[in-house]
Amino acid sequence: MFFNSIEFLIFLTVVFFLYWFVANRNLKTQNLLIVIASYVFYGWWDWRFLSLILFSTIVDYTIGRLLENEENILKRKIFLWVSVIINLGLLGFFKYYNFFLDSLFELIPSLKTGAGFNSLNIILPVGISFYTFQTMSYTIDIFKRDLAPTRDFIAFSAFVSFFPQLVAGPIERATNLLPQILKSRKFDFQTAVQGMRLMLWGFFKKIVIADALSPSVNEIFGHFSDYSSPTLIMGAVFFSFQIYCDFSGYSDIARGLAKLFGFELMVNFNFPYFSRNIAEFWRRWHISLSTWFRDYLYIPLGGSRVGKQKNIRNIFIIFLVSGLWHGANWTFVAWGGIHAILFITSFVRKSNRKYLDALSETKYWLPNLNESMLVVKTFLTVTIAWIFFRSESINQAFQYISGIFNFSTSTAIFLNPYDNQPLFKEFFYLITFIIVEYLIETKKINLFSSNTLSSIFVDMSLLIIIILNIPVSKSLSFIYFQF
Amino acid sequence: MKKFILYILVVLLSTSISLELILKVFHLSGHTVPTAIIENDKLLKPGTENIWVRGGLGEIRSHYKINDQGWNSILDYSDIDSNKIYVAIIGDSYIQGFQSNVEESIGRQLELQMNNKVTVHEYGRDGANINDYVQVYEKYIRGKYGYAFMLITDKDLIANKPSFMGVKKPLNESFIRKLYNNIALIRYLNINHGLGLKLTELFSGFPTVSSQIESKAKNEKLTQNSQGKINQDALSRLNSDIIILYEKGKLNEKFISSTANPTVEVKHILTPKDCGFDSHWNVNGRKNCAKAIKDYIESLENGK
Repeated sequence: MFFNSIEFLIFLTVVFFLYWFVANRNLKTQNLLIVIASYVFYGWWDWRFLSLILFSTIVDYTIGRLLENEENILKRKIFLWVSVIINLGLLGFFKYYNFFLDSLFELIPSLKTGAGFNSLNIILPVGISFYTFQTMSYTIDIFKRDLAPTRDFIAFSAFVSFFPQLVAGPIERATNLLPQILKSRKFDFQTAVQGMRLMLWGFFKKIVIADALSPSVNEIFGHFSDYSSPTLIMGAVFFSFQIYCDFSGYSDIARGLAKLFGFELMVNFNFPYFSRNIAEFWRRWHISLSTWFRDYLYIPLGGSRVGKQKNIRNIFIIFLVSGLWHGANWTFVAWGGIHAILFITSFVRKSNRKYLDALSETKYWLPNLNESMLVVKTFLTVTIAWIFFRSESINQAFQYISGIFNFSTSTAIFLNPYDNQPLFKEFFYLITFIIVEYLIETKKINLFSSNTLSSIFVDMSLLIIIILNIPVSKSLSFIYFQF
Repeated sequence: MKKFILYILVVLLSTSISLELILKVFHLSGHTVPTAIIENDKLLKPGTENIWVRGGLGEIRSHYKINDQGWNSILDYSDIDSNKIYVAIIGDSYIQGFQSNVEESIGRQLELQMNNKVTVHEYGRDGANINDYVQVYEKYIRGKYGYAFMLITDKDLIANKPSFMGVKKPLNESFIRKLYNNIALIRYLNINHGLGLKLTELFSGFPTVSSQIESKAKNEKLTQNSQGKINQDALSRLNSDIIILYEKGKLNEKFISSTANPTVEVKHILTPKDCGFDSHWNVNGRKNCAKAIKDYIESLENGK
């Protein structure tokens, strides 16, 4: 079930009323409703994959309980590894089996005929990368004794399958979400209004920006050899905004939905395109994944407490794994590798801990010139890396980039392939969006004003723009569902 | 909670009122073209003229005009000039052609391409099928036209009852229908976005990834193996004078090779579509169709 679908609207209305009017007197009933609703939400794609979530839930719940009373360090480690192997095993089979096999066959072609095993026709279960990481973090936190395991199976199931963030994050930590599930919730008007606003803002990003840019991006990346250098630049910049608005839009909707049900999810994006260097970008982009890798991979590898060389190695590992997490293709590994190189450069020059605050405020609402240059430079660097992320192969990414730098003035694209209308509307919304994001980042405007009249006006305006821009006949799926 | 529900209602109400105004002022919602019963057939209401709108922000806007006989055309089909060759084109929404201005229809393109040596009457009605086509031919075309072309697809061939010929549905507008026709927002959601269709689909089955794949495969199979499901009764009534128009991939190849009627393929030289959400032909598509007909007629005329 997509958030941007009619079935979700009906689903949300029903679940919301059941949650606050029928199940509101008993915490267990409310949690059970969350589990049932989440399973219906997920089962809408394919009910067979519910068995995977249930299996993952049972495994980590059981291991959590076993770890609770186990003092023997060896046994504790065995329990932990069982959880890690099962979760990564599921992820590895469904997401990476064909990739590794095909890569192996490419490396040693003789294996293809002799080995007797072939690629399988595997459907990737939606959101598997998100919920396996979430359940793993629960077990690891218990192992590290940062968290006490829950004895409430329903609450734990609600934590694993919580539908607002089940298929595309934010990847929540048990330390944040589980205590909220175990505590009774009270309806709060202001929180609910804020939740609704966040959802509308998320839908604006998804429908008005990401979906509107998608046909042009698909056309340009699909036929990049036919297009001129400025068109290729436009395609890459459009993709940067498409992926940002698609993914952060989803996170906003997820956070807004959670607020409607009385939960607070972590902020996943903090205006990443206003970053002044690559390290700052990674503190602002997909925060739940970056911090997950920091806490469960980088620090266990030694983090920054080891020597410089090992530290660089650790950074490289984190980025390569992060790339691979996004998809079973060498393009994602290359994307991770590029970011690793950029980050390491920043690390070596000791600028990775710079810019920990928001953009500087200026007198006339305009950005500081020096910071603006840094923001543009970082954005362009990130955009070049996105070309690898979006391309079908590394070779294609290089061809795309060389297409940009050969300064060809051949075919340009002025019409949106979706409707053959000029791209004015897309540019207008994109520029408006960038200005609004800038004003929010520099705290010149507050999207979450508590003034009821202005709230109504903002919600109404967003709703009108969204309805008028819904693409006809389809609800486009979110890019990050495939990861 | 009461305050929140009230808040939602206020937002929804103010949004609906604002949208209603915007949709009406900018003429963004689609509307249903009124119908009329003409000689026991449910045709379009003669004399109706308006702008046909589709797409989220009215990406398709075209002028249509219903003639006295109930078809979308600027020509009156009762005016016959004995010095001219008359061509009839029978079909569904592709021939009805609301997606482009009526002044640029296939008929007008063909007349232009043939230097007005022919006059073309288009008998297109959305949702029509082989049962309608056969009846349209028998009732309006037989013996009156030099050439009769019929655009056919697989879907037309497997239908077993007509959609508008001989269909005498009551035309009295119910209160709900009147309300629907007057509220731009509802029409916008239903006509531009297919809300009704989506809701019907939603309540007709529980979708799964595999069922979607199966359904896709089933549709593809239908195209490849629709021979067994073809409405043979309707086809047996197909006059041998009729020239079948088709697009490659949309009509079963076995049928094309086995039919006794002459066939003409519409080859798309110019890009035939504008919008991803609407598969109907644009002016280029019409030009392509007209070119296919023109080439066929000229080849026959030259052979005489």
